[in-house]
Amino acid sequence: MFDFIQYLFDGLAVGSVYALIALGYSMVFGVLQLVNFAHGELFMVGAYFVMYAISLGLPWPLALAFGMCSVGFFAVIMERLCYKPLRGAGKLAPLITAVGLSLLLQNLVQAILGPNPQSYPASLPEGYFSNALKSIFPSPEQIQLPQLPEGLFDWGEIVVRHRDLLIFIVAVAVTLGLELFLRKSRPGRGIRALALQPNAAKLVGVPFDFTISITFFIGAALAVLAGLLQGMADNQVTPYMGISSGLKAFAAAVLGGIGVIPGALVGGLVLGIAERLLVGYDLSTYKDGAAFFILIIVLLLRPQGLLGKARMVKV
Amino acid sequence: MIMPSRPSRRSAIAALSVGICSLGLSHSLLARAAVTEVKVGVILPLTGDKATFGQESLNGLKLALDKAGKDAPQLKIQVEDTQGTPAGSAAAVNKLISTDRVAVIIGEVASSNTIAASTAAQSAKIPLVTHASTNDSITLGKDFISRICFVDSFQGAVMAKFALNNLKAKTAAILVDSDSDYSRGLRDSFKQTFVAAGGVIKDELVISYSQKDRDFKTQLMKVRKATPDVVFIPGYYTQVGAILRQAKELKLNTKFLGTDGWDSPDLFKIAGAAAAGHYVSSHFASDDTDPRVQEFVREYKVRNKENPGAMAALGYDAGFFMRAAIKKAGSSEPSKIRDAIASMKNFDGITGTITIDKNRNAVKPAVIVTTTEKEFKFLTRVNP
Repeated sequence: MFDFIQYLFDGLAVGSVYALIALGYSMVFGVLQLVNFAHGELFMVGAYFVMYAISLGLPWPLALAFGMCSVGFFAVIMERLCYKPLRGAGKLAPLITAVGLSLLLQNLVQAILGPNPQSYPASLPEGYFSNALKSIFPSPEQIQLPQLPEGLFDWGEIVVRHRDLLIFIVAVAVTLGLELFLRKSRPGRGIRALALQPNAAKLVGVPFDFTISITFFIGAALAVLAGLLQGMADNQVTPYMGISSGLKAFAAAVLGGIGVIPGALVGGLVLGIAERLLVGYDLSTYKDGAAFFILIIVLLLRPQGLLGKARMVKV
Repeated sequence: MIMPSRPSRRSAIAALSVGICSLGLSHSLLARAAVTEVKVGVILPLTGDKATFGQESLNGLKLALDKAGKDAPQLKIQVEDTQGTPAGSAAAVNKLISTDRVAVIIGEVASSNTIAASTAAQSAKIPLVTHASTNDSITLGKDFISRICFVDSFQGAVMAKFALNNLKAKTAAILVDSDSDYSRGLRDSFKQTFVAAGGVIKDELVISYSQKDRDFKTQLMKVRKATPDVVFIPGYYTQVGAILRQAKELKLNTKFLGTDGWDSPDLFKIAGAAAAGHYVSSHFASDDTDPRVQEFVREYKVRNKENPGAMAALGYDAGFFMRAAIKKAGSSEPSKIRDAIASMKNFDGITGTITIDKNRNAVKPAVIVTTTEKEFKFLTRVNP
């Protein structure tokens, strides 16, 4: 019994990272009915971005803000260049573009920063640009690196790391904040209006492109936050980290009900906890398959996802 | 001028027969000349989560080939990246055999990858020598496959005896990488020796993890509750680094024992301070006082600006070993090179004296190193 409770706690942190990524999938799907497969790569790019910024000596809040804005704007530009021209082209074309973008980003990062896992403090690859940066910033050895809290809650049978709780609290806070933003703020209401009825929203004056840009920006910024947390927790950032986490997060978004904000959190946590249970009962080989098995079962019983509302399909 | 017809025909026949003779002669000369250069395929994990292994191996191999200079036989290497996966390894071997037409192949590091590669090499009857894959089954029943490193039944036993005799351990836990043949083989050999000598390993303390895992807390909590004397992790540095780091977070105070999969500079980058105070079996230690080892370390450092690990030393030995085998074969024919490899005796490498036994495995010593926060330190050498 204690073991079971322990695995529930262990699953919180893993699931929270999935949830943070899943929010981006969910929001973009909500407004465009597009599964943005490049989203997992934004998480990976974000993790690199923040790692390098911190390794160059930026304090972590500044590095995070910088990373969120840069990757956020990158996502906006990506949408304008790659998805916007395909708005009238049905659903398949943007989907394939998304898969292509995902592969492109993975391989670009691999080509520029190298294929090997990087750890804090990361050193920039050799080259003119990095030499210029190095002359401005102090060398990584002199930098006091930020760390997630290292302590433990030790209740005998059950042990919880402070950092796991921190990641969980961040995920819950972000989800609540996002829900509040969508309900109360003007751009948030615009996003909801577009998700509900795009043509009517346009008629009543919701700025279409601007609202979509905001959606992509927020999704990307949350992925960067997830990248920072994951990178600091594991002390490892790789060009491939977006593939598995991105796919799991996508499963989490669908599981919770894609397009529904709290659904992403619930879906992420369910997947995270399921994974840890399998590992705990020594079935870790089946861990990745299990995520998708759960997804299939839930979709058979509730096609709209755990928290999704059944919607009539327009014919 | 008109020449008489008869003599001309005769001289033509003579010329032709001389021509045929010399053709035969030059043919045999050509065959001898062909040994001056042999195409050698090299398959290594140059990218992916075992990339430092591939890069170190290649650095060592290149150093050996450059050091050998212009003397025949020249080894012309064709390097293929396997991305550290079995599928990538099999594809690399197939490409080397069918497109590049190599006579012999050196490589892979990880046992699961070499197993995939060896099946392809065996069926094409191209000899494959692995410098670093230690799983026992690799050479089993495949007469074109051999290795210049020790096998895991030896390595696992070395660490089990070290735990029992030097660390006075009575209980142990094992963390197994369930995606790796290497790890599963070592689990069995360690357990067998440890239990046979009176040690205790409970079934629930043989815990598996996956190479895709990033969080190992669930596994480590089981160890934390049981408090065994030692924890044996036959795994690769990417996961082991994370495990050590998280063990420290959980204030786990048991000693960790590792194997040659730990032997990478990245272990220290990932684990940080948590890397200190463990024991690892390997092929080579860069602070070994043997003058030939020190000469290699010096030369390697000049070229690569870092200390060589075990993979670099094995890559270096593989270069010289392959050269010696091809010289001995006196031919670039794959089957002749295979025979020469299988009969190599007392080859003097920097990772020890290599004798290929009847199962085409190398009989040679292992070293045990201990870890600090930054590097491996030579502790002792164990002979087979």
